[in-house]
Amino acid sequence: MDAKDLKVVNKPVVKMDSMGLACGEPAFTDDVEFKGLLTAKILWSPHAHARIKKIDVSAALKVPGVKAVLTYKDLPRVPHTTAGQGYPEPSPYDTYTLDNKVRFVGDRVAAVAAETPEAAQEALSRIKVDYEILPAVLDTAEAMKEGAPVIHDEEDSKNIPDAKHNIAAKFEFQVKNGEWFKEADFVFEHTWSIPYLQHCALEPHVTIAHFDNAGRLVLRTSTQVPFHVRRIVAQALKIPVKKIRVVKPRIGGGFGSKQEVLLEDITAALALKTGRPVKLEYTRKETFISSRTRHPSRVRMKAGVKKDGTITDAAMEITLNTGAYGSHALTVMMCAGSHTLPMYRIKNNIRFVGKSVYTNMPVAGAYRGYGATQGFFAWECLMDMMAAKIGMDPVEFRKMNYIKLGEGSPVFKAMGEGREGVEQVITSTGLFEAIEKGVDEIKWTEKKAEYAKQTGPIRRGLGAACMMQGSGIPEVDMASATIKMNEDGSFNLLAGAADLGTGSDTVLAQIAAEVLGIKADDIIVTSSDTDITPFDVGAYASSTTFISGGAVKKAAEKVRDMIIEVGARILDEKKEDLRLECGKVVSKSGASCPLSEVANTSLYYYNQHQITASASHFAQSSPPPFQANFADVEVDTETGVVKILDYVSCVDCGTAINPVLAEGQNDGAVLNGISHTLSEEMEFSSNGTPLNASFRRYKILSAADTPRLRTFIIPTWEPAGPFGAKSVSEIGINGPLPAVANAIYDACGVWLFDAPFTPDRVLKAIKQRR
Amino acid sequence: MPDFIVKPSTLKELWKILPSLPAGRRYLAGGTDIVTADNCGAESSECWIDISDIPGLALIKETAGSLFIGSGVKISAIERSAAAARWCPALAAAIPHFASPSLRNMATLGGNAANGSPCADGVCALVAEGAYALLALKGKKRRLLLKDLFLGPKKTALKKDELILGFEIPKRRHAGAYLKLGPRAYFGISKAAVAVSAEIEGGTIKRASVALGSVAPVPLHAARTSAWLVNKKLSAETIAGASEIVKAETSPITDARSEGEYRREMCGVLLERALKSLAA
Repeated sequence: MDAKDLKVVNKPVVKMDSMGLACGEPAFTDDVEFKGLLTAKILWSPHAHARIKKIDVSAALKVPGVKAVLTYKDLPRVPHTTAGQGYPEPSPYDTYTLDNKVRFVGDRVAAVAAETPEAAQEALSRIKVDYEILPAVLDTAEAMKEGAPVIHDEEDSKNIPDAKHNIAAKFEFQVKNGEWFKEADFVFEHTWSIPYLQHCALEPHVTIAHFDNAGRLVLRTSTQVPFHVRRIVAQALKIPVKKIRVVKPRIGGGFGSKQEVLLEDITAALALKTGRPVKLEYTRKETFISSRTRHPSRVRMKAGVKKDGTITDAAMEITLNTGAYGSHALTVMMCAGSHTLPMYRIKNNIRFVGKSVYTNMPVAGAYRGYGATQGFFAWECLMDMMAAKIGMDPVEFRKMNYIKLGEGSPVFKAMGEGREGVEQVITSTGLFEAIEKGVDEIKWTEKKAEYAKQTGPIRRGLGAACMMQGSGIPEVDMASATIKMNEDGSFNLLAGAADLGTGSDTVLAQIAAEVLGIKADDIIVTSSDTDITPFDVGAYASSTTFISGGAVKKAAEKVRDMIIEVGARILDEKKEDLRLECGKVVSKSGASCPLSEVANTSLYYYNQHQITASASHFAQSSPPPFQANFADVEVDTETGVVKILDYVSCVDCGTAINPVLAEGQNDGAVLNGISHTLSEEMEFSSNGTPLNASFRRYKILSAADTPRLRTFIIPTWEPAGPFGAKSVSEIGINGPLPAVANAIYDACGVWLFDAPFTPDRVLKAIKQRR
Repeated sequence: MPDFIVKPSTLKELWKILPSLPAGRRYLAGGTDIVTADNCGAESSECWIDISDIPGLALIKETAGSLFIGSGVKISAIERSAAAARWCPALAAAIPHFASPSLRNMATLGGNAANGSPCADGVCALVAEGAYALLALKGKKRRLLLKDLFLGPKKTALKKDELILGFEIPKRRHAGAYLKLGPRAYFGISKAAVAVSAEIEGGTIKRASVALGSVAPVPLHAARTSAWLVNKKLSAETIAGASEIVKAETSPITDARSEGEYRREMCGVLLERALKSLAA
């Protein structure tokens, strides 16, 4: 099959919720009013590491309007993880809804529910806590040393590989074919680092817990993982799953930070305590101090190359700072290697050594790119170093070595997400075309020649970086969908998939509409309500289009067959002669009947039944999308200011189900990456208190900073994906760090190893070289 | 938000009602600093005195010897003013660096000064222009060099209830420049900024005034550098010399926005570039 035969898929269908959102329809978690709603607030730890010796809430309870104050004494002690992952989660069970120990500045101490925000705030100030302050450790190297403070000294936590040395996760893997670096003409070894980074979703974390008329607990929450929320809240509070309903309204962005059960457990506990609806919403400051961040990383990489361009060996050693809890500690670390090491053919030896380390710092978690961002920064800069040394054009060097169609990698099998991976070969790739397109658009050859003649303090340079990601987690992620037909030939699509603003409702409707021969707006999408829609792991791991789309396609195919069955009866034709087209059942003979007639026949006249079907989907492979990135930058060598003049990103996501949404996803990911590259960094005081926990001080780039930025979709056909689709949501964020670093080197001969590339840092590097 | 906001319609009314207002009162003009500071809990007032109705404060007017820019003049109004462009070229050059277009529609030059921030772009440029601040307190007026208004971070020479009426800039034909290094295009508080105004005759600098932003506790008038430039040819040597002197004249601190040494270095680079732009 080919994309050119498609009628709804691969077309820029208008995002179905866009008009409502643009007009301010009440859509988000906090847009609905509940009678008697209480406001919840959390008391945050002012200490990086301390034990609660005494906690007295009596004065807080006396504040007028206060309905509940919870401390660790009031809740079951259940070790769990906040990471919303497939069960059993690969993250350690090291978190308690409330504990008698605090492990970072911003850890939970107590929770309050009150009639007004003011009363809740007042109550917080009246909670008396007597802390035994413990020595804190903020640095991963210090934390692993013998005798360092042990952050998880509790006995009931589970799956921590080495709590005594603060190691939350570790993994080693090696392919050994002979002596290391024996064949290499040149060997390189460097360390690259990425700091604490925040997701900055516009809608902060927010949860409302209330009760339905049967007294069941309903959690209306801004989440990427409604079904995992249901399971983890049930686990943490020891209540049955059947007593909980999770509703996901429209979401104002997640980027990984909402793949966490952050607010739901404590909000539910307050609702259960008071019997009243309760809302907990983070302020912007709270999202900085107490939600989740990207794992700060140090990636030490060593690789060897022959003069002919053969990469002989590669070793990656990564240390992630997971902060006080090990949410996604293992899996982010694994993806730093599993998404990056297979990118290029390595002739002899491959090694990966990973550690995720606890510190008394904010908790890291899932963040778009999920380890690949950290890994590719190192790998792609190293690629340019090797190319420069052997005198090969960096683009040609990549073309020579990247993984080709039909090729596999031992890494795929060895490194899964928290367990062994799945053996796979590349079944679709447009990387060659992506590189060619990018070279052409950025004017690689012309500009290289032009820039070679530069003089003066302002220098321009070009940089390239290629990458891959996954499409869902093979044999882990599962999604399902139900479709039912209405009298007028419209359909309800009930999907477990969680649209976060990504446009997945629209994409899934397009897939169903394509199968059913109708327009996308004849599909009414209801997504992710644990009482109504079937199961889906949620929106993460670049899985929704590939996995949830696969489920929708299967369900639609079942429904199509049921329609044809009824249509055959109406038209008195053979089933194999019928197809669905333009809202009708059409026969080879030219006869046809509208879908409404099919629906009415099935509902009211003949062999009465509801045309409806459900289907589930999981995948045995995770076909990587590929991307070629090109940056044209200008470095002011007197001030260190780096300006991106042009950024071209060519992405092979298989068939773009909705090209406009796919381009938008990629543009957003790239800009997010550019902001990481040039500006963003969380700063901390000497006791781990965040210093720039606001949009005023944490500088994300604005519209005015957006450089000329172009995404080109390179169409390919992935046989495992719905209508040839692969993922597109994460890959774009990995490009800017290495592409810009390589361009800076091209411009002024200086390598940058530590993000972000602020003027101070760039100038320092330039001066050191002189 | 304070419990109440008053909005006198004349200066006379303002002085009349002052004694009846609570002690924790502040003037409110564009509100871009104090409303946000209040919202995030960084400061709180008992009362805001909205001065945006007071006649005369929002005027830009030319007299024979000077240009007057009222304290209530919006930054975006300065951007559109031909008189400001002619008589205050350094100020005009600073405006595109000021916060963001939307903020420039609200913020006032008086607020920029009263806030007392060492990184205020408008104020730094005005210091280089040799502006005077015109102040009033209960009918008594005084005039002082703008550079002397600032005593430290967020500290000014303003007495309690004293109001900035506006700024007076002597009308002199001169060239000006403003260069700034910030973290991003909009809403980027500067790491370092340099404002220059200079009268140049036949390639010789007759008068020069250099001001620096974000490198000292106050918007800094670089007196030594300014004096050294007078009667020098605007040549490559002069520019290099001035750049060395200005670096010696500052001792910036390291904070969240930048490192001290980087800031000092940038004073030199930016001054060099500013002077070169005047020579061009």
